[in-house]
Amino acid sequence: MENENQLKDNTLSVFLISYPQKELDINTQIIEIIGGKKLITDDTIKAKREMDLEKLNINNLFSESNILFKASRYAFVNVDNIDEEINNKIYVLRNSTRDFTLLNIIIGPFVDLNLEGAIGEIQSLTQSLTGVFRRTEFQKESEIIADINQKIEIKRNLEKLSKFYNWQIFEEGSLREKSEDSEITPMITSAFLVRAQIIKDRMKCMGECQRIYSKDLTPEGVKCECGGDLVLIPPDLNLEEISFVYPEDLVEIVGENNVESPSRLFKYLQKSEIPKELLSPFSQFSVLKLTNLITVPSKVKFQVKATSDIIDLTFGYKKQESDEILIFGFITDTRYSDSRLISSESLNKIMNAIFANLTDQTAWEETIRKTDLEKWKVTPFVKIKYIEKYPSLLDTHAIEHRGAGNE
Amino acid sequence: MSEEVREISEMKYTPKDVVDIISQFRNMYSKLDSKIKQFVRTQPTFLNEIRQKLKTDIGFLSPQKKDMALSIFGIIITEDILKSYEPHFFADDISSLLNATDKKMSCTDDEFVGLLASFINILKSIKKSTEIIIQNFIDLRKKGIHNDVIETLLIQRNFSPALSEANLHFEVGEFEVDMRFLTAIFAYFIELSLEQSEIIESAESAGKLYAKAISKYPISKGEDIFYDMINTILIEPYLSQLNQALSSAVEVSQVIQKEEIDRFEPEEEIATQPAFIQGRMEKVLRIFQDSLSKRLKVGKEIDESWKMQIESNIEMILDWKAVNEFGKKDLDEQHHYLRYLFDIWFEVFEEYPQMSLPIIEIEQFTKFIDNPEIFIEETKKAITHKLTSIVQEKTKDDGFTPRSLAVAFTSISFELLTNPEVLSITFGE
Repeated sequence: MENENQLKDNTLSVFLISYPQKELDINTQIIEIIGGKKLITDDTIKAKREMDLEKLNINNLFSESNILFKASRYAFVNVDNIDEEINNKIYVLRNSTRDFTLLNIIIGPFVDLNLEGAIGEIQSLTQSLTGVFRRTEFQKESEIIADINQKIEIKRNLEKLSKFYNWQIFEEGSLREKSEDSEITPMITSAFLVRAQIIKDRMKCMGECQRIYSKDLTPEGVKCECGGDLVLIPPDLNLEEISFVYPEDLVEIVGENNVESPSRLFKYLQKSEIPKELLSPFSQFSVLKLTNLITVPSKVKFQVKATSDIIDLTFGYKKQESDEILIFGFITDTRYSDSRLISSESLNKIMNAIFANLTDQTAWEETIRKTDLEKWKVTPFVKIKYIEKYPSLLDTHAIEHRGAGNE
Repeated sequence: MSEEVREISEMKYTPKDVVDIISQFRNMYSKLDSKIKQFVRTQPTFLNEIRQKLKTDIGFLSPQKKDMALSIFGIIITEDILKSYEPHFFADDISSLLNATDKKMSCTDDEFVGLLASFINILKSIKKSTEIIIQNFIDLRKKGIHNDVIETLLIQRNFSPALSEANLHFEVGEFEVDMRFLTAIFAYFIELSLEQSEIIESAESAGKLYAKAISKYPISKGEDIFYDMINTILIEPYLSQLNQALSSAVEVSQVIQKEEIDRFEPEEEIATQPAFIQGRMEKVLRIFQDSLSKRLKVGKEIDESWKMQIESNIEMILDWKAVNEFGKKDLDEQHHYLRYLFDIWFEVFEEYPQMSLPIIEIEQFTKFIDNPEIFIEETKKAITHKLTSIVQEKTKDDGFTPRSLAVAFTSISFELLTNPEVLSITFGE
């Protein structure tokens, strides 16, 4: 119990919701910060952080398409000491209905939030709030209540529902540790390795221009040219090259229409990164010490809008000399069940083999040959800035014949 | 105690499988017609009696449907589906059933049989699920979980799945039903259980409760309203009463035990107020504390829900105090209620002396600052006198009923709380 309380006090759970205020054609945002007693001890700081968060337009953070972002878990890497184990993990969950968008961000020292379970709970929470919204909207139209009452009611219910959500995580534990109980075992459809460069020591102007300065270009003093204050922002990754791994018959297996081009596959990875705008208000919580940490995804869940199928991305990373990091990932998908694909049950084994054998970028293909994916095709590394040039995975192999040319 | 301890994860409602619900409906529907005919043939006297009683109540039904409905009432009674079911309740319920399914204006006899089949199944189903949910509530309380969490647990893991199941009983008959009607049936069974524990005098019919639900909750369809609707129609009005029923159940057993002990031990001083009054009182104090600190720290305004909370809590305390002292509610000698109200008031002043500031004379202000506790003790009489006249003005013709006093108390407290003098002073924290 004491441990649980400690965990609760060291975990910050933030809810952000946004809903339209029809008459004014704007969105109303509500913020709820719960837990984290040890992290925010001061009410004024809390209020200030709430104001920072309120500026976020959460509707634009994750673009909606046919594939919906649902949940993710991120690990932190210390740029100055890559091997250092960082306890805190960050979870992002998102759900949107016709009227409502809800985002839940949890930062805490535990790794076992059951993402599937939490997605279900977040969906039910959003649905409940939609009901409150619908009822109050009706009462507003009949002039029984005013806008402000609607906001108060939604906030009050959000408080209550988020308390229940937190209770399920910390007291009951029902949203943790359980194995992910999907009815369908997803199949691995592809894998990739990305070479990324760490960019650190950047300053951002908090004033009007919001400009970001790299280390060498930072102006003298602590002010930006526009007069705004400069703050150190968390380091970032510059993704440089990528290689894909896929079964030769991919086109036949997934059908012409579903074949992912290199750029579309890369989009999954892009969508898996934590949005910078989201991270930035959190790095202002100085106790979290985010300013020297890179946020790397470890698990991301997407949902296919039309069929509710789940597309999972599972990541691992390996540090390199200097400021370089290799990130490898696997895409699993519940839409396909072809025997030429490999079941996600092998994922752990494959990941372990990669951790053990991957030394640098050049060892990638060799490493894949030592796993269950040995018969799959491995593409040469493609420069990410030219990725649009390759309409299909097959096209990337031409690079080999033309030598190292990526142009 | 050799009670089995259940896990929290088990304290939820597991709805029946849809296949079972379909077969239950088919079964009921196929038998109902012949059951009705048989009832008409074998129980003519019973039917006539009931027909006389409900002459006007079911006047909206055609003669043919009247016979069908009355036989169904007979079946519900004779088959023990509901042990005590007032004929007038039944008439209310059938009328609401037709309203809730939009069948009041036109309904074929076939549809009517289908509706009645669904209705019987629903009564059985909701009766059972309400029992299970109340048991779950009892067990959850024992786990010492925070009230807010229990409320949400009850809604999300108990009432919501039970309500979905109830709705399925109509869906399988291809009827679309107003969710508030189904919720009202839950309310009816809750009221029945409160009636049994003598917390309320008598339950109202599901039909009447449906009418209330409509006035309280404006939307009738969609799963997204489950949480909000259950909260509004079931949790807010009944949870504290259910709590009370359960507390008195615990107390009865404690009283019996105490009586056993008393036979051997000399009589003790009369116990102070029972735990549930104390608990309620603590809640009231907490609400004051919250509102004081919220207004002070963040300048938040007090809203309608604050008033409602204070009102309902005070009314309840007044009722309980009466039951505690005289063994009954609705006292004829209403001055007792006023006495109870002042007990509450001085508990509040003891905790938050600054709230008495607007009532006392300005000259006494410094005395008050020196030691508010002693000051209040000394000027109790004057404060009581002044407050009494304000209360009298507020209650006017209503007299001192728990309701009128609760309303007066709330409105006066609101004025005190919003008084700038009160807000200018904080004691201790």
